[in-house]
Amino acid sequence: MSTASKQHTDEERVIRWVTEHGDAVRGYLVGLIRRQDVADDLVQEVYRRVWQARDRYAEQGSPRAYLIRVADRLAWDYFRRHQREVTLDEVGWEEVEPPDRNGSPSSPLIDSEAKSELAAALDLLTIAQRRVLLLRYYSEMSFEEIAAAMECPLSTALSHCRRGLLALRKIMSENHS
Amino acid sequence: MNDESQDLLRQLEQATSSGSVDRSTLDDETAMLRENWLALGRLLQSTEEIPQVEMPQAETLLLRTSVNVPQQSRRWVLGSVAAAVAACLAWFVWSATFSRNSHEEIIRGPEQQAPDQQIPEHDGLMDVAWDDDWDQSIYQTALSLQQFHDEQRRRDSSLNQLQSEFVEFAREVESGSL
Repeated sequence: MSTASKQHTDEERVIRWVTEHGDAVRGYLVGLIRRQDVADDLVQEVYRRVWQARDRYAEQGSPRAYLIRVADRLAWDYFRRHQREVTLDEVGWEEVEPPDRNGSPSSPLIDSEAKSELAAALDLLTIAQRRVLLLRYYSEMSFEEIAAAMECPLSTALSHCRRGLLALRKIMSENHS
Repeated sequence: MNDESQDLLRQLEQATSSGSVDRSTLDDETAMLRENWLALGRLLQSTEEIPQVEMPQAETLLLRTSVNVPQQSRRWVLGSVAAAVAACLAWFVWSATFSRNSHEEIIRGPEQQAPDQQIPEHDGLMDVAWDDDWDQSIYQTALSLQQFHDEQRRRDSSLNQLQSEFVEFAREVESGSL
């Protein structure tokens, strides 16, 4: 394949990925990090990394899983760099960053009922539980793949998943009532 | 992997499957986990549907990251630059011609204008004429420029004279007539 046609193919592939999987990548990052402004920055970073690594990409498995893995790695790097932010609970967030009454794009997940419910549901989970559930939901990876992405034993990933689903029971029962 | 993990894996695969699962085949706990999973999915889906910050345009993203601009785009860019340069050149030539004409008018000064070009006093235009000394200032500036220009020309002529004397001197040295 000539260089020009390969370049064209790479461009088409990345454009298709943005169109087909952009929402999933963003959804994963918003759900995990819980800050839209940071998630939006990381979405751009995901595609920048993917574009830079386009020559090394080998078509194995689902592209969505590949993108979510890149997003997950970036999110994890973000958590490592901003560990204090991660440990803040909802009250802490209110003190550090009061909600924007104008509803700017960077305001947290509180500007709609659905977002509030989701925020409440995600609040019940630890980061590890949230990570497993969101990886499973958005990337449809197998649990073995999820454990590999999280660099933990399979049994640990399974345990996070089960506990996370059990923790969600509370909010679900509140919704039903 | 031990049996316990195997059972847990099977249970969670059923509970979190993206396909449809026959609920009657699930035990109570798995069914409950599945309910929670589906509810979480609904919440995630509903927030995705809420208009949020626009996704980055793929084309913009590629333009920003790609250093290898395709040949066709490069030609288009070069064409645009050439057109812009041509437009600037045309404007420059036009403005230079215009400013030369107006410069001559300024040098002559308001009182030296031909009588037929002077505006009649009572044709109504004088009512909207500027009531300041702007014309006078422009005239003074033009005179200064003219003086500076003449000064330069004088210096040039003395330099030219010096140069021609040097040339003459060099010629005499070459011919050995000195």
